Amino acid sequence: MNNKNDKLLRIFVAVFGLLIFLNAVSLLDPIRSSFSNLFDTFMVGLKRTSDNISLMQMNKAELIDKIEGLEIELSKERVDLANLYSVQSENEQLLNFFNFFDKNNFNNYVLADVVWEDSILTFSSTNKNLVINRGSDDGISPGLAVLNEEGVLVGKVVEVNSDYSKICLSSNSFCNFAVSISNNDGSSGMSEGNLGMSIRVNYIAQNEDVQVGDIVYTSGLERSIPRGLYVGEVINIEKSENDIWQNVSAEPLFDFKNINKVSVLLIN
Amino acid sequence: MFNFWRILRFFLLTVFIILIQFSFINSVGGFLSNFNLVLYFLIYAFIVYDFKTAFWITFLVGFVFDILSFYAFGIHSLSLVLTLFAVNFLSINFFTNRSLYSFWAVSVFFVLFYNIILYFLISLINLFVVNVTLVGDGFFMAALKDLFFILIIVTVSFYFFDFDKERK
Repeated sequence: MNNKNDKLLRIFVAVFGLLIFLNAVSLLDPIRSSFSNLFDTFMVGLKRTSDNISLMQMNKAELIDKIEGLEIELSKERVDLANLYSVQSENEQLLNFFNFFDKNNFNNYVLADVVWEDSILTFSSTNKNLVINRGSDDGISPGLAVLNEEGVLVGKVVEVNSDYSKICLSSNSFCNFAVSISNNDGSSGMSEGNLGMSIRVNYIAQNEDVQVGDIVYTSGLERSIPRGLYVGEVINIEKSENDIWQNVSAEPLFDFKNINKVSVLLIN
Repeated sequence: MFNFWRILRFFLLTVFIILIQFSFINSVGGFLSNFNLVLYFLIYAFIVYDFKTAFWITFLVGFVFDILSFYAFGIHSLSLVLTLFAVNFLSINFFTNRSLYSFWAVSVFFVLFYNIILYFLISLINLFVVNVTLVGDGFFMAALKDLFFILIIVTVSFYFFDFDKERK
């Protein structure tokens, strides 16, 4: 056995030495090139098969990770985009506020953000109050008019503490304003919210001529609310011969659900 | 004595296995890429065939490795043949029965000897020759992975390929 192994070892040393020599004098190069010529196609085919299998594995495991990563990135982009829209919207709102104040020579006002909706304490979903992040420290007091970015009257300050103020919306049934109508008679009355959806204008006499489309605006009879603030537009008139007053309904032209920034007009 | 067809058959089998290892298994990724088919084939040849046949198969594998390898020519042939002699020595003197434990031991020593000898030769050449690729830190970790998978396959083969029968 050992002799056989010795013989094999000697053969190996001889062949191995010969191969080293042949390689050193580049005589093995034809074998190399013919090897590659012979098996290239086979190797390329194998490699492609292997790559495809590897790709399939990636499809299953890594691709899922990749998709999850992309979804996270997309969410971040959406958050950024939402922030951008928010900033853009805020800029437009502020611009509208400033334009309105410049146009109407209102120099004393406070801008505020709506921080929450207070409908629990009123025990009614139709009588929503808004809470803003400005209070008595900013000069706000009860009774002041609250406007949206377009200058439309949205409500009135009803309660104040040092940092926050509560606003009743003009559609609330307990939120009243002294208003006038833009008819020939210059009718005056008292606005009152109607189920949180529209405004009823009370105390308009039967003989006064009110038309649908007339504008309802603040009359200035309240000490802390200036004259001429837009309240709404007349949408319905009902007259009854037995009543003293006619029923005038107006529509406030703003969306109650999308109020997020307001201004409070301070008393000059 | 070897006849021509037998040599050709072993040569083609060797080339096929090496190509499968190089072009398919190494790049397939995942679990399968850890399997060293060539080493398993040599261990299989050592266990199933007589030493002389195993020697020529090993030498053929080493030669084809050297043809394809970027290391100095002969380094794989030398490593594999030295490994074969060392394992054969252990097999004759220590692991004489044909049990599963013997085959595990043969596999362990085959993988370890091959990697150690190859590492030693590459390091030795690296001392004198410039531009030889250095063995990375993962060299022996790869050897351990080789060993792990080869032990699994040897175990499976023991029951399916009648390893416990005498050598051909």
